[in-house]
Amino acid sequence: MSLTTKVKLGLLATGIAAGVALPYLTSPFIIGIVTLALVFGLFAMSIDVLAGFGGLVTVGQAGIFAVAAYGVGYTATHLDGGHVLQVAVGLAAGIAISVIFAIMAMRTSGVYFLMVTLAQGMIVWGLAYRLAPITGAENGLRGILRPPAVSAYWTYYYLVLAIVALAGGLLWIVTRSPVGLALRGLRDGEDRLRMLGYNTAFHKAYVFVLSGLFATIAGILYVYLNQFISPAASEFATSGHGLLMAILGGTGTLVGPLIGAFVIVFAENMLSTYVERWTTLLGAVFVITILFARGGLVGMLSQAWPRVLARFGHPAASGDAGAGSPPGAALDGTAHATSNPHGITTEDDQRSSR
Amino acid sequence: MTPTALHLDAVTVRFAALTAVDRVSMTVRRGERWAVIGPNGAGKTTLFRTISGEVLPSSGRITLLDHDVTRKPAYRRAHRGLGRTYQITNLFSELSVVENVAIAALGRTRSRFRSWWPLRMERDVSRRAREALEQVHLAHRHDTPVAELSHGEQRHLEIAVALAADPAVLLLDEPAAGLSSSERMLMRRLITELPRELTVVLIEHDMNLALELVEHVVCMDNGETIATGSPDEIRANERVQAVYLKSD
Ligand SMILES: Nc1ncnc2c1ncn2[C@@H]1O[C@H](COP(=O)(O)OP(=O)(O)OP(=O)(O)O)[C@@H](O)[C@H]1O
Ligand SMILES: [Mg+2]
Repeated sequence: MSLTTKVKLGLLATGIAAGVALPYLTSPFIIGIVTLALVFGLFAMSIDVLAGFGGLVTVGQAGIFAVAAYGVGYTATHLDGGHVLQVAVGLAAGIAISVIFAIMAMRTSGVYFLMVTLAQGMIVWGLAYRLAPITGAENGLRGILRPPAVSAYWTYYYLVLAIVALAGGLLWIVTRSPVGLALRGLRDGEDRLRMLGYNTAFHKAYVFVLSGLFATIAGILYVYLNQFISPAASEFATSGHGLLMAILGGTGTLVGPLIGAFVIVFAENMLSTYVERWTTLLGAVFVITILFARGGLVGMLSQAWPRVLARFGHPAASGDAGAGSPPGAALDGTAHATSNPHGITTEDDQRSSR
Repeated sequence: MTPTALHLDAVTVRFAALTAVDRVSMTVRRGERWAVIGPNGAGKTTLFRTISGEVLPSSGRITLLDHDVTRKPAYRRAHRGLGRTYQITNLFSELSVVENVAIAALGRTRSRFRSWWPLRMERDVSRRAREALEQVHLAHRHDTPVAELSHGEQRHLEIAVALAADPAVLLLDEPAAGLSSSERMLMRRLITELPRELTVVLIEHDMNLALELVEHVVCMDNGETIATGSPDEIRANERVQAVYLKSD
C-alpha cells in the first residue's frame, strides 16, 4: 500500500470517527448544520458525477431534488401515507423526473446541455408555484414528520451520516466502473466513443438518471430534515449552490463536493448573520476559485501533499501524487491527467506487486 | 471465394453544391489490404466518414460483412466489427494511455453498461488493452497521460485504440500524417505487422508509402474514382500520374 493510500484511508477513518463522535462533542445547533452540509454534500456529489467527470454541467439538479422532496411531502400531508409509502413515492417521483429530464438532455452537450438543464430546473420551479393543490404554492407543505425512530435531531443525524457515507461509497464505485470510464470519455471524445460502439446518448441518459437517483436521495433527506418543503428548494440558486460546492471543493473528486458543501453551508449559517452581502461574498469566492484554484480545495491539497512529504524527506514524494485531481481539474479540461482512478493493471504489474 | 468484408455501391455524398464523394464503388474481401490515394480534398476522409456512419450518403449502399449498414448509426457498425483511426489524432486527451485502450476494449462488450462494478475486475478488458498496446509498442507507456506522449506515440496509440476494439475491418486515415521519415518507417512496420486476417483500408497521401503496403489501390480525385487496380497498374496509370503531377 502506498503512503498516499494510507493517508487517504487514515483520513477516511478519522472522518468517520469524527462523524460518529460529533453528537457527544457539540451542540444541537451545530449538528443541525452538519446534517444539512451532509445532505448538500450528497447533492453536490450527484452534480459532480455529471459535471466533474463527464463535463456535463448541469444547472437544473434542484428540479430533481425538489420533485423527490415534494413526493414525500405530498404523500405525508395529503395522502396520509406511512413513512415507507412517503419514501417510495419520493424515490419514484425523483427517478421518474430524472428519466424524463435525461431523455430531454441526452442528445445535447456543452452549453446546450447546460441550457436544457437550466430550463428543466425552471419548469419545476414554475410548477412548484402553479400546482398549488399539490405543492401548496408559496406556503409550501408543512408538518412532514420524521419516522419516530429518527425524530430526535441526533438520531436523524446518524441516519443521514450513514446514508451519505453509503451513497458516497456507491458513487465512488460508479466513477471507477466501466460506465465511469465511458463518462470520462464523453468529456472530450463523444464522436470517437460512438465509433467504438457506444450509444453515447444512451450512456449519457443512463448516467443522468444515476446522478438523479442520488439527487433524489438528497431531496428526501432534505425534506425530513426541515419537515417542510417550499418552492425555494427548486430555485436556480439551489442548483447553483450545488455546482459551486463542487467547484470550490474540487470537481471530479467526489470528496471535493462534500468538503465544498461543508465550507459553504457553514459559512452561510455562521457568517450570513454578520456579513450583509453574503451572496456577493459567495460570488467572489466562486470567481477566485475559477481563476486561481481550478482544482478547488482538494486540488490545492493534493498539490501541496508531495511538498509536505518532501519536507519530511520521504522518497515516495514524487511517485504517487495522485491524491485527488491535479490542479486544473475544474470544468475546463485537464482532470485526471496523472491519476489512474480506474487502476487498470497489467498482469505484469500484478505479478511484481505480489 | 473469400467473403466480402466491405462493399460500396455507387456511394455519393453531397455537401450543398459540392459532391465530395461521387458514385464510388469498391469490393473489399476479407483479409485484403487496400489503399485509397488521391490529392488533398479528393474526398478520401469523407469516404471513410461515410463508411463509418459519421456522414450519411446522399445515395448508394454500404454493406459491411454482408449486412446493409447504409443507414445504421456509427456504434452499430462498430459492433459489427468496423474500426477506424483519424487523420487528426482523436484520442481521449484526459485519460491515460491504458484508459484509452480500455475504453475501446469495452465498447463491444456488455460490460460497457456496468456501473456498480470496478473496471479493474474486468480481466478480459485489461488483457485486450495490454495486447493492443503491445501491438503498437506502447506497453511501457501504460500509465502516461496522453498529453505527455510525443506526436509519433500518439499516432501509434491512435491505432491501438482501434485495435483494442478487436475490429474485423480497419480503416486507417493517413496513419503516418505528420511523422518524420524515421517515424514513418516505424509506422510502416507496424502496419505490415497487423494480423493477416484483419481487413485493412488505408488512406495515404504519399503514393510510394501506400503502394508498398497494399495489394489493391483506389485513386480518387474530385470525389470520383479515377483508377482502381494493383500497385503496379496504378503506378503506370496516366490519369493517376496526371493528378499527382498537378498536385505537386
Ligand atoms: N462537413 C463538410 N461540409 C462541407 N464540405 C466538406 C465537409 N467535409 C469535407 N468537405 C469538403 O469535401 C471535400 C473532400 O474533403 P476530404 O476531407 O474528404 O478530402 P481528403 O481527400 O481527405 O483530403 P486530405 O488529403 O486533405 O485529407 C473537400 O473539398 C472538403 O472541403
Ligand atoms: Mg483526409
